[in-house]
Amino acid sequence: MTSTNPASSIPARQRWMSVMAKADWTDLKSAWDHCGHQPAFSLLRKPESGLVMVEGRMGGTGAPFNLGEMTVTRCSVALDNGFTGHAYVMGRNQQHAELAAICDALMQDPAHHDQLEQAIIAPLAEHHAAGKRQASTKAAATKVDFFTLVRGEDE
Amino acid sequence: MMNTHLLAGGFTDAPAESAIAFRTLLNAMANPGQVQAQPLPLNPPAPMTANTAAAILTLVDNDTPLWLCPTLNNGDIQSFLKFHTGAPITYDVSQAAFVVATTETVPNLKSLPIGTAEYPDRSATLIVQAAGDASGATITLTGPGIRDRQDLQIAGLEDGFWRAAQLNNALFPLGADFIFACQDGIAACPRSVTITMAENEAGGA
Repeated sequence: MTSTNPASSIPARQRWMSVMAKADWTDLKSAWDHCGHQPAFSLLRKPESGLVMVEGRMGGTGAPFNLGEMTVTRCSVALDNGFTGHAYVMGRNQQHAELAAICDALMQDPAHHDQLEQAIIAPLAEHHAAGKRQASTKAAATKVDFFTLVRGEDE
Repeated sequence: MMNTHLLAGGFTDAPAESAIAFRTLLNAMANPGQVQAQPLPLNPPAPMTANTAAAILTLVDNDTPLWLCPTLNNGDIQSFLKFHTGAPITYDVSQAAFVVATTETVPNLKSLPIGTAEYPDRSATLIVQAAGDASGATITLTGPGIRDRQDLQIAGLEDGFWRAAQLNNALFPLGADFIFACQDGIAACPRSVTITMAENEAGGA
């Protein structure tokens, strides 16, 4: 639909949709309020919550197994300028789903893409990455080094 | 702008409106051959009509493969149905749970899934979109849900279709079910009824 715009390529769109889906609602809301956008839009699909079966693969490559169901809220909006935005976010926050859908639509608009990328997506992505780094640092500190157990002759 | 318009023509309040449409379809199935008024002003992409869309959006979901005839299979309709139903589109009629066609493009009824003796519900439902102004053969229905007899005329469906439908209904309890999305409402012809053609009425079917 907007394939002429390189910013809306599927991987790029997947990235920003993923960032907004995983973002904390308060972070997303405050970043959005800073932007001061008030786009006119209509709801194609009102925010609605449901369950999605999450599948995992042992080691990332094994046979898929059902990990469990998770609550997801989805929403679709149409901006008055013609762009359509969809969002699927974790949890039951309907405002989160609606705002993420509006952002998705605005991100496809070349007139707003760069500004939103800088003001919302990049900080949220960085925040998420920092949290991930912190968690993995914490986990790494608890790593057991079996090498020393095998040797056992350091003294 | 085109996209917005495209996806906006479905149910605006899905839980309530799909219940209304489901009641319409239920009444149509329970009273074979009676055209039931369909009150929802849906706006699917052309050339699909509101009554066809009401039947599809109510019955079809992501577990039911959908076959669309070439007339009703364009990019806009595919996007519309994908957004509102999530149904996989199939190009093999024998794999479809729902088969949607216009009166000119109804596939060979023998190619529709008819279910199995253990699972007669694994059959197809054929949804036929009928134009308003064409002529059509008048047939008579008898059987469950009909007190005496019920005449039915679907614009654009001639004797050929009804003869094939007779063969289909002779397979009961197997066989496909038919839903007709007419201009003034929705009618149905489940596999359980007996179809009698006008000219051989005296002889029976």
